[in-house]
Amino acid sequence: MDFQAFYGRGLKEMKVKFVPTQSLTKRLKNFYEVELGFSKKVAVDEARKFPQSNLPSCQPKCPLGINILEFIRFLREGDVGQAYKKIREQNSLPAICGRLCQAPCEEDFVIGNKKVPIEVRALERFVADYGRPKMFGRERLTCAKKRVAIVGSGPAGLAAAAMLGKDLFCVTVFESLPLLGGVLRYGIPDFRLPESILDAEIDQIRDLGVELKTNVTIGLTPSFEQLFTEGFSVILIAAGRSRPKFSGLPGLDAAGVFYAQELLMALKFFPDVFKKKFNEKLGQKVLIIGTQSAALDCARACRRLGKRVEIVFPGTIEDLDVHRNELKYGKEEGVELQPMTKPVGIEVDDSGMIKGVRCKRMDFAEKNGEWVLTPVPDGEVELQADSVVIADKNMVSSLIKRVLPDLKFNKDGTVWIDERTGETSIPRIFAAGDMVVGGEHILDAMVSGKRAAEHISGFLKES
Amino acid sequence: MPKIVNKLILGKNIKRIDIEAPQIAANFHLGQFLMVCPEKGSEWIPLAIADADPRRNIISVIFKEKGPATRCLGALPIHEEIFSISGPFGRINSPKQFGVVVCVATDVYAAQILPICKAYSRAENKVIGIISAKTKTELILEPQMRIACHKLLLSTEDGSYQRRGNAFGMLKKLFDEENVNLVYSIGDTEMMREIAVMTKERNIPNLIQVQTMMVCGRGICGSCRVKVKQQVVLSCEEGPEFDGHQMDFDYLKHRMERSCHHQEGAEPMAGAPWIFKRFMEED
Repeated sequence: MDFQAFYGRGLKEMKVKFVPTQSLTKRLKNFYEVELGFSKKVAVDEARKFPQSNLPSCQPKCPLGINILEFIRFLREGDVGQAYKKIREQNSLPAICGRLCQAPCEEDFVIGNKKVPIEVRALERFVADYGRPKMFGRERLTCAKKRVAIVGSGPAGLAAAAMLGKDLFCVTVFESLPLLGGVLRYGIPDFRLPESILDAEIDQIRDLGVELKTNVTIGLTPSFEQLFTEGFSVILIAAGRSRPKFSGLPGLDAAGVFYAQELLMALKFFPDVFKKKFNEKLGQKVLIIGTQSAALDCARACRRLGKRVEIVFPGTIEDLDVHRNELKYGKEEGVELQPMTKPVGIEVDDSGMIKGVRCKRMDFAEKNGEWVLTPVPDGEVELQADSVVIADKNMVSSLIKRVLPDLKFNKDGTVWIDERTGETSIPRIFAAGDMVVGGEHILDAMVSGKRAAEHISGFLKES
Repeated sequence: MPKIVNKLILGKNIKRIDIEAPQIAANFHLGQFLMVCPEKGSEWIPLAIADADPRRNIISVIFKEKGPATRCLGALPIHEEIFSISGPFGRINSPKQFGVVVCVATDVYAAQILPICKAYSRAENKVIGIISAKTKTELILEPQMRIACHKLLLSTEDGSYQRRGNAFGMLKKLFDEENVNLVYSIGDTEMMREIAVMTKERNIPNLIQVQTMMVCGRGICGSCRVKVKQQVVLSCEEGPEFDGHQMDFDYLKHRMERSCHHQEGAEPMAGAPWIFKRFMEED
């Protein structure tokens, strides 16, 4: 029985509007960006189709607080520059959000009783690409005496840095890697976010007067106490959740098991080596375990190396944590999905190489009046694979736990913060990003970073 | 950007470079390592610091040219700038007073044992160094080790210099002569395993340093994982120094083999079985 066709039937119909992309044959041979974005004519046309009504159901809500109707009103008139300014009031990384945002604003948009599919994300991307001023001088003229240190230059750190920079504080961002961007740099492949776009966005934040330092690992050199003695009045930790979680799946110590970060990092930082080495290491067929967007990214990267790829996850397709466009591109490129399948163990042959992965088919069964996923009796299958990539949820780096033993953690592994003040259990140290939210979306991290920046500026103005 | 100040060829494919890096030279502690990226787009190499001089702001690293990245680093001339050096990473070791300490290293790993020998002799131990290599040209750092250790034993596998034999045999002989209190070993996995087994029989504490393959060195990629006390830990965060008795060497061998696999240019592990099966099904 074809499980995929069976479970695929009941899903909600996904209407995807036409966003120009690279042709399929071309894009499987390169790592360049897939979506090409709207042209100005199409973008303005789309914006004109956009319903401008005052009904509450027609007010798309952005977690970052972008006034969507307002910027689209500017775009209807063809004033891209004004629209860009409108977005940048609230969002300091528009080009990145226009590519990677989960777009919750597109979901609950109802006219009458009908859901209307709208492309806010693509419009934001168009505005960010075309509306960016060519000459971007330094905006900052004065500088407050109070200094803020931000640990980590990921989405949360950059969003907070931009907010605090606009508030005229003296901000310094520390990054451990030699290149800025955190997860945006090492975790997202070129075909979703080109490096040049990321560089341009970071340059704009630098123009706000924010100092960005690379190759500095706070905690080792220098330590947190040293930062305070250097004259920083507040430290914001936005180090994210980068450390892979080692699960108890049997067979994980085989030679062909990789973690998603390893693959994506190698692809980003040494692409030539990646293409050579991983071509050999991954074998012919790659099996990817996980529901995160990293799983789909890994799958698409492996497809570009010419591998056969399967993503295995226990839930339905709707449990996949990716934007509908990305899922569509992935399917077009030949990524096979195995929903309702739970990996039980990795089969290893005598020489230590992977033979396959034992899986159990899952189905919904009624339990105490609720529909719960349970394994199907006799539903065990063995999926063949030469290598396994694990794209599971991550955890907070143990370095922070070692360096700051007083830091309080919640039960689910996130950092505890005071809801009212935003402070952690250590005074003058704030936290933001994935460490606090525990989600896997860039949008959540940015919202958290913005909120932390508000808390910090309130704290500094009071003291 | 850090600049190369000096460069020396120590042995066959083994080079030493001195780099100007004030931040690292001032903050370096024993047992930590650096991640070095010679050019943009090349791999990051985990390297132990052989020596650091905070007054001259200079650190020196010793490495063997194996893969494309280390060859690229070796090819950089004096006064050239290195793309990035970050660190130091890893847990800080603090040597204590044990009595008689034997430090064993093979090949290029003599570069890693040198600062350890120095530190243990500073902590008022009697340090006996053992270095072994395949041939005379691969044996490095003999004069420096002579200064750092109270006694130095050398051996080559083909007998081209000093004694013929390997490090393990020399250590076994030494156990009969001296009352050893600690064995510190760095080298290939098989040698470390043998030493761990032997020291466990005699109830002598054993410390090792592992050299697993690393992509990031910061605890992001998870490729440097090792098994200690039945638990998977990252050697870049918890190590690279571990207790030899608690290390799972089978797991470590898996990880090390994987790194050797591509460097030697061996056959890819490939999915040949899958292709065969598919053709057979079609028939």
